Amino acid sequence: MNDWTDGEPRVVVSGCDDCGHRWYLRRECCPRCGGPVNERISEGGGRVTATTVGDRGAIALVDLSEGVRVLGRCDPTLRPGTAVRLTFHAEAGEPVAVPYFEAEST
Amino acid sequence: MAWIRGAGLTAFGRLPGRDASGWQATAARLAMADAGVRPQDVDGLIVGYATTLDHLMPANLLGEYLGITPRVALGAAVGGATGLAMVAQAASLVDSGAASTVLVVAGEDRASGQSTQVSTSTLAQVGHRRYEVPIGATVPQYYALLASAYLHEHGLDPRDGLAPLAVAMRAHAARRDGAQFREPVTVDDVVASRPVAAPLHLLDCCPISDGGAAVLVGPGGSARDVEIAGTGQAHLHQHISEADPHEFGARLSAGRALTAAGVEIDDVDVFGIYDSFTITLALLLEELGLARPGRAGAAAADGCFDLDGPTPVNTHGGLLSYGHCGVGGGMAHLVEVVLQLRGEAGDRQVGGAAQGLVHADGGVMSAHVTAVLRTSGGAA
Repeated sequence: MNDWTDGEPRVVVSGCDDCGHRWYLRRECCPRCGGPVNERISEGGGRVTATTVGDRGAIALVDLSEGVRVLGRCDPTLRPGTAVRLTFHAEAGEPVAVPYFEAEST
Repeated sequence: MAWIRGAGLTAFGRLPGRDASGWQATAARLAMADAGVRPQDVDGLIVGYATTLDHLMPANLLGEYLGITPRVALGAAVGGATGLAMVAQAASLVDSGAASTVLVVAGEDRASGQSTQVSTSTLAQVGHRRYEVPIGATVPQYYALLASAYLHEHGLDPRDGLAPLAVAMRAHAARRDGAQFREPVTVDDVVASRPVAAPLHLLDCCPISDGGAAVLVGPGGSARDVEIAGTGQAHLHQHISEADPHEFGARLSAGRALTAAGVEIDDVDVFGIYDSFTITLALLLEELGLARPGRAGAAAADGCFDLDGPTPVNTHGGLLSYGHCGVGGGMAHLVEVVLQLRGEAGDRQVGGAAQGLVHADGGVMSAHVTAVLRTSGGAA
């Protein structure tokens, strides 16, 4: 299933048919048991575990509600613990839109 | 049984004039002279990667340069843990009888041989090529994310949680010839230094340096030889999104090394712990059990890691102040612990040091290697 790295603005969460393990980084088989892979599109809800701001903008690690951890860019006001939703942004000249996290509006 | 029979460490800093091969050769000659062996005596050669060299065959390249024609030649790459991984491999070669005079070398003109921008971009490739590198994160940002999570979990700010570790490393470097930065700094200086990747400031980050380090490993037992009493490793993840922040691998790696050596960590007198950033040192000290969770900064402020503290750490100043030339940076901790165990550390000698532990990580807390060392007269 194509994801944001292929130009489709979505995060795909992989799971194992045999052991139920879930992961984010694309693989051809389960890293825990070698079992076959199923895929689902993330609904985009999650919680920030870490943030930083460098020369090239703010970055966050987010635990998605599907149980995987995703690196993305983010609103620079986000802090660890904040509930977020997933969007996609591309800077000028970038080939694909990348994950961008914003605070969940309540 | 394998011993460190010779050790060589150059000064680190921005020191133009040598390329990577030049730094490797300089460090290698120091280690060979220290051990009293000639290039033609070396039958095993293990050389770490250099980003400015980007060569497929680093050991063959250096062997030709120095006139070494070994039975075993190997280039190695596990990031910052490469130096200790090479020493572990050298010990295995000696123990198996495959080689008896193994030279382990690292060196690089990382500061003067390329721009900071190129260096940062090269190092950022430890991120996942498809899912992380396009986000644009740098290595300081990956470690800043670990710092953000750590400070949040423990309710700390950078002043209390991280800065005292930079101050402690600088205090060590003030006593060490060859260190890149020797001027003492305060917690105020650290938090007032330029923000690099919040919550990390410039003085939370190691510099990029030129330099080299090498050791000679073989059968031994004479008075100046230092026994490689045990080594251990753990490699649990590569990328930050798959790391377990409460079990990066340091505890497992050190446990394996201590078990192999038959030593408890409480019996160790002097430590060399990888410190690419203050957060690296905090996380490693805590996972190794040398500080309580969330208390590494407080322990540093209390003097626990000072020369006269209960657990002296990085008496050369570490990567944070001695400097970081890549693979050789992680080997500087090893050379320093060797000097301590020989009783050759001068005015920074830890009294009665008989057992040492060196630990390094590579990537984003990804690759872990530990070595337990002891003097020829050290207790088993």
